[in-house]
Amino acid sequence: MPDDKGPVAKIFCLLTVVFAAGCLLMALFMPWAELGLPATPPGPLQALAGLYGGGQGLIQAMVRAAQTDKNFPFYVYSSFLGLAMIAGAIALNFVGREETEKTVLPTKK
Amino acid sequence: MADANNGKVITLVCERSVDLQDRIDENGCLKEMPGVSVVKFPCSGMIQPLMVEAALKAGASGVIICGCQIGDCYYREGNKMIRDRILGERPPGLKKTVDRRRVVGFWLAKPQVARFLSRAGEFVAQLQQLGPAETAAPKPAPKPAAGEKPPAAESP
Amino acid sequence: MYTKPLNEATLKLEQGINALVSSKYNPFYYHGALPQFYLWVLYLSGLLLFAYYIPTIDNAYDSDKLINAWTSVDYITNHIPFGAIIRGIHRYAGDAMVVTILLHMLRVWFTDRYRQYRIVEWLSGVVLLALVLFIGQTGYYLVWDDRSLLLTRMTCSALDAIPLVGQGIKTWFLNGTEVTNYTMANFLFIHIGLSFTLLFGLWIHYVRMTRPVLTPPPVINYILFALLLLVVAWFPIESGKMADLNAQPTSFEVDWFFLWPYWLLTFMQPAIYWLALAAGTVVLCLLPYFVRTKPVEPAEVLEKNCTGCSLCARDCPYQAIVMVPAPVTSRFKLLAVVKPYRCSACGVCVGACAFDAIDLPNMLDSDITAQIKSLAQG
Repeated sequence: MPDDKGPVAKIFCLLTVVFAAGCLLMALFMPWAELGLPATPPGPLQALAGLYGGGQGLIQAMVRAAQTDKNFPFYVYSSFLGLAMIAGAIALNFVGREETEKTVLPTKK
Repeated sequence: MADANNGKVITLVCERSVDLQDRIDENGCLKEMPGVSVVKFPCSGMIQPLMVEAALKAGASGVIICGCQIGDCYYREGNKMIRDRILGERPPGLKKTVDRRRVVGFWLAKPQVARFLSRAGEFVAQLQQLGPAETAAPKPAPKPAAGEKPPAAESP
Repeated sequence: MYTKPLNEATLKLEQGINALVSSKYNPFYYHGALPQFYLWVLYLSGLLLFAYYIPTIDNAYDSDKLINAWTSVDYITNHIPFGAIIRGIHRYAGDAMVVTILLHMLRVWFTDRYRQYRIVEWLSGVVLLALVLFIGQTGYYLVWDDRSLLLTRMTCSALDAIPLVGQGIKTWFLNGTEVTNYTMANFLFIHIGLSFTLLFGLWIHYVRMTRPVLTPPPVINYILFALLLLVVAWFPIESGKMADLNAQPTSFEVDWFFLWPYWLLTFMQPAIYWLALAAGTVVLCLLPYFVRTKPVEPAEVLEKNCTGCSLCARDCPYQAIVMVPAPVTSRFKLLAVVKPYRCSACGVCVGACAFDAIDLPNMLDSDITAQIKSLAQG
């Protein structure tokens, strides 16, 4: 991994944020499916319909698994929340990391 | 490395930080860089800003402060304390008259000797660009500010 | 010394992690705060479990409305939303706490930070580790499945083997002479009550540390918690069969973090088992004394120079300097005094003093300054 906040780090950071957002979105699909909400979201959320459609197959598979193990949905939430937190931590690391090997004193004004 | 118009570089180093034992000669100078001499402390937290000032006033062209990696300190907080002191974030700090460009802090673990030598080399090169220190060519009567420096430390 | 290669290996490892995540987020630099984080997780998740847990063992009649410890745990796991997650977090956070405590212990041992002026921390740490292991075991009784019953019986027969006090401890443990509803109430009390005495132990563990590091930065907290969530989801916890006092369970699944003493009991005579545990604890406590040690030469205050500014007392990492009222002859109000048995001779106080009023006896700051000057002039 890069030591400084160069372009590679920035791209990596961006990818991590996208991944974290994806994990959160996945976690949101579950209650949507479980609550039996319509497959086409209302008005302003229409734009997300495509995304939702893409996730639908996965949701159906999850619901099938949930019928055999009651706790399955909770474990799915747990996994995705965990993955999102790891992604978040990696992103935070790239934002907050500090070069501490050398201290240069600020010159007086 | 030390040429005629450039003074020595003093390294104040924690003995648990970079292991320079095999790299110094009997005069306390680095074998690779004869212009750089080394003074060891039990912990970098023991280094007084007054010592940095004393070195520069006595004609050193620069001072390297070297402690363990920030976050790790055998005695818990010494490296953070001297770092904050030279940055002016923790009393006692450096006097205003100290040339900030001539002081640098490195925070390295015991095995990082090569890293230290390259960092020190960079610093020495920077000092050579700066030229001789003003303090080395003494202005008339560079008297220490009253009360700042008791006489005990004045006699070499 | 024998830990030297281990120390170097630790430094190398940490150097690698620094390159990866920068020293600000290196978990090894928060090794003491890691178990502390998991302790807070255990308190919170335990509070949620406590809300639904019922400490009774009734199973005299087989009915759908049966209410006891096992059915309440089953209710938490299978009927409360996220109950299985909370239960899993509580179980695995306990395991994680033991892992991080061992990491903490190994690091202070490898880096030689457990002796002399740190002796209070080491001894209280051994006691805390023993407490944590015992509290974790009592957690396994509370589930009240066949493993719980077997562990309870093994504990009883092990206690029986202790002369004089064994019977008394057994009566305290069972809260009577046999397993009853009162036994479960006692198990719950031991589990929760001792958990809070951990806080008292931790106070002793921290009391000589100036500015102890108690909380890792958010990045590390995220990772610590995320690992729990993933393990909880991928290795779900299940209870065994409900305990039946008439049954004779003979085998059990071992949680290697907490139940290893019971594994020892499966092949050791109880008397040997207790001796082994006692010997292990004593060896841990005496570990700091096995190393030949150069005595610390504590810092000394030069009374005539001390202005009572208290910078040294503030910066001392081991609370070894106290400010006392200055003698009447002094121009100043306060005077620094060193408590020699707490001093590590690190010299941070020398660095904090702008008046040459405190010194390490074998390394006077005036000598160092003189050396620096002669080097600078030479």
